[in-house]
Amino acid sequence: MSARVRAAMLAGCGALLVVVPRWLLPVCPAEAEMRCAYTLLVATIAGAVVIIAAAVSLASPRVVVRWSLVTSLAAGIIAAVAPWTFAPVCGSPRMPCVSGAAPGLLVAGLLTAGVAAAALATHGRGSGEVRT
Amino acid sequence: MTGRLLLADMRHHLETALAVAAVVAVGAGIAAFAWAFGQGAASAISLGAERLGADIVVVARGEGAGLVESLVRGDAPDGYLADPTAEIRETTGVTAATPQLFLQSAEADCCDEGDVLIVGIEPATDFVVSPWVAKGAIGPAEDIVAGAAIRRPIGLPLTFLGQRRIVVANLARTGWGYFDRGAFIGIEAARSTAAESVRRDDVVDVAVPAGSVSAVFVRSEQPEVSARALRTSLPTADVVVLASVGRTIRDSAAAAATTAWLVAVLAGLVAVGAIATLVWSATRRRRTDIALLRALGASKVAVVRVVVMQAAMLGLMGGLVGSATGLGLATLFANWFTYQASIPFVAPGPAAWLWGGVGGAVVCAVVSAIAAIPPALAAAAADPYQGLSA
Repeated sequence: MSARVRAAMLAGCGALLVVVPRWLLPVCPAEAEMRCAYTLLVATIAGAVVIIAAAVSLASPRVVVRWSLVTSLAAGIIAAVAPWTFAPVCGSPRMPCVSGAAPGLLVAGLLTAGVAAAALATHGRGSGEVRT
Repeated sequence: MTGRLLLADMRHHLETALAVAAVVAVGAGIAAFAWAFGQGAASAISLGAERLGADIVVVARGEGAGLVESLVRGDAPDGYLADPTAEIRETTGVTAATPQLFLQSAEADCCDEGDVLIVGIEPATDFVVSPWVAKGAIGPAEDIVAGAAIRRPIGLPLTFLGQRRIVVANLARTGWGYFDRGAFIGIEAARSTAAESVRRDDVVDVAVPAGSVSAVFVRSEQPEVSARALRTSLPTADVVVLASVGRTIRDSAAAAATTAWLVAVLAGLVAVGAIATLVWSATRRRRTDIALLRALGASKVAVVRVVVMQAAMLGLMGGLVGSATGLGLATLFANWFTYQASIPFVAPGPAAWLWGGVGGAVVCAVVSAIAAIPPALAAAAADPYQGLSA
């Protein structure tokens, strides 16, 4: 996997983490001041972290690339589990955050973690990257 | 022996193997999702129609237009009407009529057990809930029959609008919010709960006019004839024939399933093309190996068998992963279909997982094998001499 393809895929996943709970499968309306607002915050931060890590992964030192991929992996897992653990969504299955945003974040988070894990597994395999 | 060789070869050409498996997984995932959606929606629609058991529903004027969507989502229609049950029972073709009173409990500040649809039913005449629970389950005012989404086991209390009640029965999941979010109590208990909520300061006021109901569920031998008569005799009510509205939901679910299937077929065709291309490119890359095999005496059939078996193995693996992902997505978004898209939906059960997973994987293996035949034949037909001198 070339560095640019890897960075583009990770940035796309990061964007997905931001877009899913905000627009695609949105959490409850902000004016209602529900607790899923914190889920949205966590997902947005995780998405931003993945996008920044994707940009950083274009750097050549191998250790920097590896840590940016590990960071993306962690951010993906955090975004996936957040709605069910430390940043829970609301309680009623009727609410959009429960029925849409939470499963959407699980999928987007696992996708991000999967892409980061695959990139980690193939990192340095004949890609001609500089080793430090 | 052949299997071990194939696995070793896949390890050496990991990226090609992963690409073929991924293409198959995407196609299988879309197809499994479409299949699970079609099955889940169809079974929920028929289950809901069977459970409701009514041909006609009479509601307050203005509530009829979105009634079935409200029943799917489990929203309470806001309007009340003076109880017309006695008059309805006298109407042509009507064989049974039972009144219901809907109360929406408070949603609290965000989200406790509060957000349930309280449904007051008349135990003596009810044919909507009573047939599905033990005889006499709804008796004393403290008793409640809880829908599947409420997740409160029998014997435990449930408090809404300041009233504490004991769960005496749980309903199975139907994919309809009316049943799944429903907390069914006697209609008089519902009326007293509403009256108490107005008296108390610590709960939301639910004002219900005295002697009124939210809906009357009607069974009729001639639904259309009865509906016409009811529209004339009850000018302040909306009369909804469930068969016609149910058909609309069935049509919209069928349209969504058809679209999903079209996408699945398209994805399948793209996957077949992609598999053939990937296998062709892989055999081109390994033409020296294949030529060596042929030069050592391997028949053309043996070469075709190796290539096709490898594609089938990758198809099987990709199919398993893709089918599981598609079924998993359908399960994850079950509530979204019901409460956001207003389509009754039951998540795939263990049997669907078994048949969908195994069936999907086998179909993917067969399709991958078929897609690999043309490049395999081309590879087998190549002249060994040319392959070795390439």
